[in-house]
Amino acid sequence: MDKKETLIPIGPYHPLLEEPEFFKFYVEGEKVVDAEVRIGYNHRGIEKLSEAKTFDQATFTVERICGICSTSHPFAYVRAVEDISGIAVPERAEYIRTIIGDLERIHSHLLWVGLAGHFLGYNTVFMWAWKYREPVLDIFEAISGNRNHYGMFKVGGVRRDINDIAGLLKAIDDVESFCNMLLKAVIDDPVIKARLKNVGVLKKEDAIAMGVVGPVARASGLAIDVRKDHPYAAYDRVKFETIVMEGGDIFNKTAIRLLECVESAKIIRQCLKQMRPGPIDAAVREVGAGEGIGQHEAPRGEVIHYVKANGSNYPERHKIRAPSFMNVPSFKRTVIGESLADAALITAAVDPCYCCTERMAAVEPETGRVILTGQELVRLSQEKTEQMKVKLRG
Amino acid sequence: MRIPLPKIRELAEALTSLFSRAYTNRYPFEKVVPPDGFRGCPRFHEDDCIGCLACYEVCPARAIAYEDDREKLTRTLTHRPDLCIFCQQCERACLTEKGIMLGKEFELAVTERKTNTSQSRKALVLCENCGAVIGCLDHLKFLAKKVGTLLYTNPTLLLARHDELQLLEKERGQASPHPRAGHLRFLCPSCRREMILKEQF
Repeated sequence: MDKKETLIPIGPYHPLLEEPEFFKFYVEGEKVVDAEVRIGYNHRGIEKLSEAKTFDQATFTVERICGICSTSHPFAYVRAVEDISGIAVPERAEYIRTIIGDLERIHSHLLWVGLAGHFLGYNTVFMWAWKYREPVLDIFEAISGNRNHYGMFKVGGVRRDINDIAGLLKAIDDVESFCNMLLKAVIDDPVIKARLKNVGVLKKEDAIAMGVVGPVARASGLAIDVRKDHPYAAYDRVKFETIVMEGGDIFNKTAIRLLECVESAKIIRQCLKQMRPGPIDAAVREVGAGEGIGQHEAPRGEVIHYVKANGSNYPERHKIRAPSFMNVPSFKRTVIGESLADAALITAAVDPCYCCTERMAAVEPETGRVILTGQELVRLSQEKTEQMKVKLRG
Repeated sequence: MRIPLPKIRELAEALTSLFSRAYTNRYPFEKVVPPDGFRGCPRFHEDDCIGCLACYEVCPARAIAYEDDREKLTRTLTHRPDLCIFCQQCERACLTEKGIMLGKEFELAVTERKTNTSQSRKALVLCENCGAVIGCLDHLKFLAKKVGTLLYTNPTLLLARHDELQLLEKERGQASPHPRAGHLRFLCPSCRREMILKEQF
């Protein structure tokens, strides 16, 4: 290491998203010249745990991998189990699955936009995004009985039917108008634009090389979306657009997430209108033996579950690949050359979900170093926004 | 100072927020009423519970435990809200559909983890031959009602039904002259099989 460089360790808590991870930034003055990412602080043994549960019980286990995108894991898991012996899911159940999956996308994206706003020093954005996230959670409460961890998915169908379609349509209209308002408020704001444009750019070739997925890839010009590429559930029966942008910076990632909220609202509305009465459960008695793979476009990208069954009532092997596992290493390309005030925001821009990712790797704690706390980084970032506000006004 | 267009929109939002009712409610002074179908804390209803352990079998979080007391002949089922994930599987699996039900209760904070539990205590039936646990008396009665006339093929169920009709003491008090009186006992499946085999051959 060169003498001019200073090592700044950040962690083992993410400064913005408050989950365990560890970054080492090598800085020259204010500029980051190299970065190291270390994950694996929170091994939870979910894959092994799921082998001790029956196929039906494991849907609840995988649901609890992540607290924010809690439907994406059961969605991929039930598809993997259904893939083993080609279980056909009733049409109405597929529509309900689509509705739940996309409602979750709205609430997850709004949550991230709120946190990013707070981190920028824009607590108004934080308050608005979380205020408008609340009706989405209320919809979930009305549909599934829970605000989070909906427990709607089961192998071969869903557990609850949706009855109040007119009320839901109205609620979705409200959500969509909120999203549109927030979208314009964030995109048109000159300070946010100045603060986020050309910060943390992930070039298209880097995006391909790092294998990123989801909104991170779509912000860098890669048109990948499982819902479009390999349609499942009711996604082939509804019209929606895959939002792709070329810039690759944080502004694009923010805009993509907000635009996707609007698209998701459209998907839900179409599903509610197209749904026909019918059974919601295929009443699966036996899963059989074999291997199955299930994918789902989670709010953060493609999540893949692999399940191996040996004919018993328990999975023999269960492997999970969460989207953040692919997205987290992209920090290494995006953060270099940026200032320290931007660094933590860049690391948050991929919407990393550590609880999804942390199921492997060994722990090697760093000791005896001064650690920059989350509050300090937030303060650095907020100060920079304040300076920009002054500059733009002046 | 020039106000840019986006600011006007934000100003409108701010003004509507300013003059409308507060978005949040004044919890805990103002109680929240959950909607119908809300998954609150499950509670045992002892009158409808039959102690069949379907909820125990199906619980993904293993929040339901049971204990058999052979001395007092009771089975105690305990539900622990601190382990519960409110998935409603217990209510779905319940044979009587009313033995354990999710309510609308969600304020579950306690200072001791193992408190705030709900229990169901049921009379236990042991095999009269080997002493193995057969099941709860209420469970046998429930099955006896469910199988209808088929009841007369299974003396264990028949006895449970007779217990309900208060014929049991009368019947068993008499020294039966019938040579096959050994049949009319509470027996576990393996003892019954053994007894029938011995009698047949």
